[in-house]
Amino acid sequence: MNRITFHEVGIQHGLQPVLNSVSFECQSGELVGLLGVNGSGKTSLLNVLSGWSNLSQGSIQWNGDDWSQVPAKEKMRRVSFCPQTYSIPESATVEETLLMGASEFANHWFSLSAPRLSQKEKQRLDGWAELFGVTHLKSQSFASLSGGEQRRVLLARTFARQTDLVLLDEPLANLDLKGQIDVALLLRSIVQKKSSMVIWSLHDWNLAMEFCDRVIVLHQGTSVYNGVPSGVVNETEISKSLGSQWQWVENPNTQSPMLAFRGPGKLS
Amino acid sequence: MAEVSAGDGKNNSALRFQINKWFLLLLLCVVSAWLGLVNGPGSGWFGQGALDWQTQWIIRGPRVALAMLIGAHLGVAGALLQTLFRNPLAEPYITGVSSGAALGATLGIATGITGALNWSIGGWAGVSLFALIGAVAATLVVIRVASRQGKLDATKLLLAGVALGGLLQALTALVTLQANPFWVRGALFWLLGSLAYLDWKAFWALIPFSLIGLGLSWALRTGLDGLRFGEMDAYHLGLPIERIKWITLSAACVLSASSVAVAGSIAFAGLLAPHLARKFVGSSHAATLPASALIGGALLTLSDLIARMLLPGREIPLGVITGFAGCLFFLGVLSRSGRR
Repeated sequence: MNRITFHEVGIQHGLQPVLNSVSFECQSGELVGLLGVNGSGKTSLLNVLSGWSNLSQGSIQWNGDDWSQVPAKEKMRRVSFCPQTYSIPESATVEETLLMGASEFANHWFSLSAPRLSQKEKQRLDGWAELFGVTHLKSQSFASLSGGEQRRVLLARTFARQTDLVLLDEPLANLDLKGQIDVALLLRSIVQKKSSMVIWSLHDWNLAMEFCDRVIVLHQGTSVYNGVPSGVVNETEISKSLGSQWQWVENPNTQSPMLAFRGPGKLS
Repeated sequence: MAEVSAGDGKNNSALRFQINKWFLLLLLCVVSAWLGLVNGPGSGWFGQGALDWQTQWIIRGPRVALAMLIGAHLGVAGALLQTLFRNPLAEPYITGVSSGAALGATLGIATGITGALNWSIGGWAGVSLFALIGAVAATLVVIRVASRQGKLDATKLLLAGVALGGLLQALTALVTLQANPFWVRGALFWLLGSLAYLDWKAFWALIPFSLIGLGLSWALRTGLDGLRFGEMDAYHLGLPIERIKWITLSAACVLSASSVAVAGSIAFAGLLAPHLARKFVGSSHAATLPASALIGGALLTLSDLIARMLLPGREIPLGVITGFAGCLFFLGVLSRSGRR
């Protein structure tokens, strides 16, 4: 069981604060949704958790240990990250891209001998590729895939690293409606089966209400809500952050809250 | 890229195709070396003037061996830097190595110091020494500008290399104009890149640099595969990107500075070889690096042959041939690759 605690975390880019005293806690077996409009600090929060950027205030703790003191190599053993934008070279095949998810890959970055995948590791990689439905694409070049297929390849690679914490920055971007639901269902079942911790940022509030165990809502760099999805409905801050007029209704099929559009907000 | 053992049957044909490719590359090298050995001003094309094998080996052996080795240096250095900068236009001299070497060599030649050294050690030893100092100094300046707190900024490195290259070229031109015209001709020949007047001593002097540079590159191939996917991606896959970048740059500098010191700046080979290698064997570095070395070696051996044979009784600088033929060939490949 792993537990991550954010305590008054702040991040600055130059002089510009992008996150401001954000506190929350999450643990293994939770699918955590990060919600908020563009520029609210979702990616910055994920980057500081992955160790790619440094925090300027507060602290992050992993099972009580100071996360900023953990060496980068150890961080990467515990965390995998699927960024929102990626620059896979045109010449790379899907198989090459997937293989980078194997642990042998990172361990052999400087070695005269070749990284050899064990049969078990190979099967594991194949299993994740199968789960995300990209096995038949293996021999193709990554650049030739559709946006949705590319996203699924990257998700398979991210999960293949089998870390305790998985960070996904807008994993549903570029996916059609069916793809979005498929991936969301998959994330749900992975979290349940492997009892890993997945934090994903997304823009679809209704999907977050249906699938997440916990949602964190960011607005202008501060967290305005942190808790179970159903609690979100009482927050007045949230409709303010969305700009337009929205109404919470109940999904007649699942009884989860659903965000319904009412009309444009006042332009001020 | 991680090599997956090819146990299952359907991979066998792919494997055989790969083996054939390597066989072809090796054959290309052997044939180029043979052509380089049997043809030359002394014996004309294919032994018309008939020299015995031993004489051919003594006269042309070091040239062919050096062409192979320097071609391998340039090919691998080009492949390393193209990955480091994630830019297909990167070539071995981009960090200011060649312009630094040129200024060093020209200064040495113009002041007459290298002449004395060449005389006492033999061959081009004096020029090589000055060129090496110039190349290393230029690289260190560029690295100093492009790094902060141990972190290497690849974009800055590229820009600083181009900027410093311009400055050094201007200085070289200035020195050349001030120097004795007789020496300028020698300097120009060397600046354009040439394997003339080199002997086995130059070859053996280059070997330690080859072992270090090529060895580091080979060990780094998996890290380079990661770097190809971008720094952020490589970081998130658990790779120590800063260390990979530093080792890549060091290996590339050892390879390019040592070859420019021995043979001057030979145009285009280091740009062309990695591109051809990737087209031929794919872009995983376990394949690209050796293929770049083999293609670079064959390319330089054949170019050197043309440099010796094109004008009867006269030698053309090797850099002129690689620049000319390489450019035409490269444009041809580029214009063809768009059409499917």
